[in-house]
Amino acid sequence: MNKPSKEEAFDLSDSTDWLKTPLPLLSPVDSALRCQVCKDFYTTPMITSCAHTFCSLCIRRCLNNDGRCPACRAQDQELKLRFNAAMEDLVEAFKKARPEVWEFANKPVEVVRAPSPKRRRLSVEDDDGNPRKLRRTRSSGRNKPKEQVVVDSAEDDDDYVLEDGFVQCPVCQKSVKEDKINTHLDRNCEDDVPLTKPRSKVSSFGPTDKPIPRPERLPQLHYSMVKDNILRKKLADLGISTAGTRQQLEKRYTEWVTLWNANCDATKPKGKSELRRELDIWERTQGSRAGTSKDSGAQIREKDFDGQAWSTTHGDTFRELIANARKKVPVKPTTPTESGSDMVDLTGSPSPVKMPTYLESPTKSPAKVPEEPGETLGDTDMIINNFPSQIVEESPTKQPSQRRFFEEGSTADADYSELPPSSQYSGIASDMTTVRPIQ
Amino acid sequence: MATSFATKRLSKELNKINGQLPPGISLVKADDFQEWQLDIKVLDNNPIYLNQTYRLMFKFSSSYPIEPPEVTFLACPDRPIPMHPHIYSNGIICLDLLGMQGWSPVQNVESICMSLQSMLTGNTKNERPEGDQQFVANNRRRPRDIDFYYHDNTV
Repeated sequence: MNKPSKEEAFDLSDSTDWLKTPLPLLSPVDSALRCQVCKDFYTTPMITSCAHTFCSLCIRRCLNNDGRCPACRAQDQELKLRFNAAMEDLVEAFKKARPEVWEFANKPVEVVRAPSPKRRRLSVEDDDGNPRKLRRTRSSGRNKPKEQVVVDSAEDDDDYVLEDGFVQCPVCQKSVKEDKINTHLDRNCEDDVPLTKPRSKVSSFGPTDKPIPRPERLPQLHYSMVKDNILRKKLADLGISTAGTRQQLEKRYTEWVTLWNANCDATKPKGKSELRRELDIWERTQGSRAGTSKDSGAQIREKDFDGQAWSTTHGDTFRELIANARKKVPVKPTTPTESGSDMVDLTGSPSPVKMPTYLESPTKSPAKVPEEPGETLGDTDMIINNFPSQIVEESPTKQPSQRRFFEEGSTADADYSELPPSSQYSGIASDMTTVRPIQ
Repeated sequence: MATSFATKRLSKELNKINGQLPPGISLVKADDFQEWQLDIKVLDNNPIYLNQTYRLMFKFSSSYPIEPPEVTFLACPDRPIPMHPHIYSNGIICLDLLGMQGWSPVQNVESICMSLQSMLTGNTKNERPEGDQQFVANNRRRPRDIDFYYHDNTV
């Protein structure tokens, strides 16, 4: 890790910087334009359903982690985020103005007069050699200096000597080229509007203004329904690394989708290679970090969920399940994988009931299962070793309630195939009721 | 060099902390972006904490601020562990703000310090949590892996 003293490449400005200047009231302004998660100016601001704004990447990471708004803890979903265009404009404008205002605010008092902030810009504006009036300061803040020289000289020249070949318009007092004066009058003195407007637009939005095909957002996966090889294939298709454990793959895929979707929100989306580079940075700084099994567990758990009590109450059921599994395994040794593929087929139907994930931490699982020594049952051993979380998904003998779920799942699946494909995905329940009577 | 999300955010916080901190909070050590130490004092006249300074140890993961930092009281020669029904004698703090459920990325080091100040200020019981001896003797886990059961909203 680098030391704080080391020079950082990024901007360390903060809203409280203003408190030490003669303009302390700018502190809340500055602060309001910053994301509360990264404390930086908003990058692609997105507004939540609870009307809080964060950077697209920040809020997506937060929602992925616990599904709650960081500001008010209200539940929210990535799908409900909307781009906050007004905020982006504000941020961009303020970011541009900040260095200038900062310099202005930190000048010794006697120099804080109109001409002083101008001096820096003289190198550009002196090209046309005219002393400028204060009015120019305002417009130069908005336009790029280069082109502003063109626009303004046309505008300002009426105050000075007219250049050769220019005449003053009798209506608007502007200086206009002699051969253009008639068209100028015909157009109600607005002839340079189409000329300057597109130009200033180009300058403020940059050369990337040419239409880029908007990338499409990616859905997050229900990892419990995706098998290793499918997940690996997805990563490979995206051109990202497939190395590491299952858990690392899931985290990597999640981060990629987050980066990708945040990029989709951006006014100027970055290229795929740029995103890959960002993923690489993430990988090096936090991605391959191990021992995060708790993370996924903590988010689903209720605040006052008593894991210990739960496991004591249900310990018997698990022991029973394992006993049943042992009995059945020699008869149907391939069942676990079959039920696994069953689950993948359920895509489009509600996700399977997920057991409270305290089960994922072995230290908190209920009392150890008495394991008969010398008994080698292949798959059963695997189940017991992963006891009890794997039981839920892989045991051939499901708890009554779970078995019912899977059966319902598969019959429902069959029903869907009779319906037009579109109805498989949207409003399944209502489709079922409306379509059935017609058939 | 690649700068992680956490590093960036922490360097901003550090910058701010170096500027100014609320009364009763002072930075002791922040040599890297993994571990910081701060001192806090209780500002009012609560007799339990009168004239005492307590040292806090912050440990940040690379997922900060999405994940909460690990915050414990650190016992040093003149820095005891404060008496509180939610603070174990080994310095581990049971506060929902510091758990996965109560944490929010809008919190920061400063706000945590202030929360702890007010947690101490509001306390009237000069006691340790129930089962402190046993917990301190047996606990080998890190605070983030402990399942606290947040039940008491009075303190």
